[in-house]
Amino acid sequence: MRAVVVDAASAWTGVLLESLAELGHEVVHAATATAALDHANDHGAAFVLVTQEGVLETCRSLRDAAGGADRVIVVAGDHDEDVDVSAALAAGATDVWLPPPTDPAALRARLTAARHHARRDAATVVEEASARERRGRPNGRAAARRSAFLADASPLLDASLDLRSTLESLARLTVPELAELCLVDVLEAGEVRRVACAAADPEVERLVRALPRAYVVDDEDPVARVVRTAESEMLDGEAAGVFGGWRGALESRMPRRAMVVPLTTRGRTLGVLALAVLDDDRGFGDEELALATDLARRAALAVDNARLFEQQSAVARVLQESLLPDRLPRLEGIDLAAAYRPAGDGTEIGGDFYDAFPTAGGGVALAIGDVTGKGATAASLTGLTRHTLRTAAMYERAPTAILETLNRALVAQRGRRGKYCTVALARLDRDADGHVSADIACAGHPLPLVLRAGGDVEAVGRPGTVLGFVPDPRLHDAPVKLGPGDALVLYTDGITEARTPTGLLGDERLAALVRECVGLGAGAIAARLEHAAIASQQGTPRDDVAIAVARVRE
Amino acid sequence: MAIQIERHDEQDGIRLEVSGDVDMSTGDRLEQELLQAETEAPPTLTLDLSHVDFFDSTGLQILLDADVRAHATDRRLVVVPGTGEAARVLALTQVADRLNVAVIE
Repeated sequence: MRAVVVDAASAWTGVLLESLAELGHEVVHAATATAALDHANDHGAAFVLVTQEGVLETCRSLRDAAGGADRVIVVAGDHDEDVDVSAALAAGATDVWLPPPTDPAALRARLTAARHHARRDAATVVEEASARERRGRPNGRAAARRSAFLADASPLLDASLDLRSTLESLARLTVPELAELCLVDVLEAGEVRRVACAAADPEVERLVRALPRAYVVDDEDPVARVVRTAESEMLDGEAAGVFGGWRGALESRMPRRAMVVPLTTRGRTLGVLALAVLDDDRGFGDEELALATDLARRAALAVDNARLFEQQSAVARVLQESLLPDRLPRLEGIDLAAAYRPAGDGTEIGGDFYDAFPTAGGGVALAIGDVTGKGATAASLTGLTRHTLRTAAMYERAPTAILETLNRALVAQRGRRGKYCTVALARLDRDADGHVSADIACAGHPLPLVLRAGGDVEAVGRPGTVLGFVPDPRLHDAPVKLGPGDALVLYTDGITEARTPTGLLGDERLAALVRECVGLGAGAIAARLEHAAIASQQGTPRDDVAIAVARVRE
Repeated sequence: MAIQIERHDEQDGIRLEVSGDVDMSTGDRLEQELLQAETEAPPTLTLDLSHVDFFDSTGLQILLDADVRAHATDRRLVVVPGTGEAARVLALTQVADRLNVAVIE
């Protein structure tokens, strides 16, 4: 499938393009809407991602163009404020991703869902005459479509960790097959919070989206009741209002019937999946209830997983702010990128760090390390280490000299317990010909890898003594030349020591993973390796994982 | 994910034979066993790591601290790294020649 991406200039663009390519799509990056239209029309692009200004206009043109009916048009942005969701859908967008998934597995799932939606929309246009009948009571064809729907929804929930965005796509899948209106609500401390909603009629969706995102309910509110009892309810007539005190706002668009199904997982009910019809002729039977229950079970698991993930990333974010550099320095001709994930559920502060900073005499140093200890001890030692490295780099050029300074500081400050630290440090200088000369020193740290532009992978540097133990560590500066497209990959043993179902991940599998990154940019390499390490441990790394990448521009 | 520590009282001191994983969750136990053995001031304390399946910076910290304590109190700490994970970490961190390393069997 050809994919056209229009003027995407967000942090996730690079990884997204690479993920699309990895999934076998021919990716075209169009700078303007006009160029995108040309690509879409002349070459029959099946998927268009729009991120630029004038989103609505672009969507309309893409939809109205010949062959546009079953085209997947996805609008993407960083935040909710970036896109008016219902307006985009009304203008012809198939789905809205805020933000888009960048991991290939999640992207594949979301694409499947979007294509399902586009196919269905196209079918609706063609078969408008029989739409009424099709939306009626279940028949053979409807049942087949529903099982297709579930098949498309499942990978969506299995793959993605980005909760809000995933559930929005899920809600969109349920209309109009299963219902005319779909809500995903969670209940926390007596407050209903709307996580996602979708309606078959854009006007209804606009009304529902205009309601407050969160509101207080009493015990007799249907959402509160279903959460309390964890039993599904079928509601009729007046009682079908699942909007707390806000039902008045919907006027004549009030639901006539509703199915409210609990989102229960790991013994806890988090909220509800509410499906409603506004049409007196439509109802819900056992088949719909079974389908909704199945869907709710999967959605609940996704909600719960995402909660764990969000807690984890919140801790990681705080860590990154305090212990990791706010941003990596910019250096002409070299792209720097890094990734970091603390161990376990993210509640423990780990000992891995990375940093990049200017060095004496120009050039930039890229450092990665692992301090011993955990919690506050590790955090303070990380601070000391980074500060000392940065200061030493202002006066010393040789990586060994910088590391020796750090060693003296660590040995001098040892208390009852030692302060030990492993570091790999690379100083990068850009040569006149666009190549990069690197000097690499390793102190007790796994040797960095170089990924050549042609795909070869080699370990660089020589093993040296861990810092903080003896006053005279043996350290070596190892020179390495990097050409255009070559990438230097620094990592911590959280990757190689990852416990996978087939044993520790190990040096050889890491080298193979790095080899697979040939052609990718620095950010994508770091993201890919981090993802591989986390995924191989079923999402819960037992040690921190840190990766820093420097890639010479081509 | 567990650690087993067997203590053997031998002619010239105490020998701790560790197997399983030395990591964040099991490190404290190993450290406690070491400190306990040290209070008895054996002429030689042997830490046998040859049956360890996992050994990371947690294990390294415990090992290096024990060595520093031994030097400070004029005791002898002998480390048996074997050929597995502990040996790999000692090679990577280049500390083998600063410790009393024994090759046994």
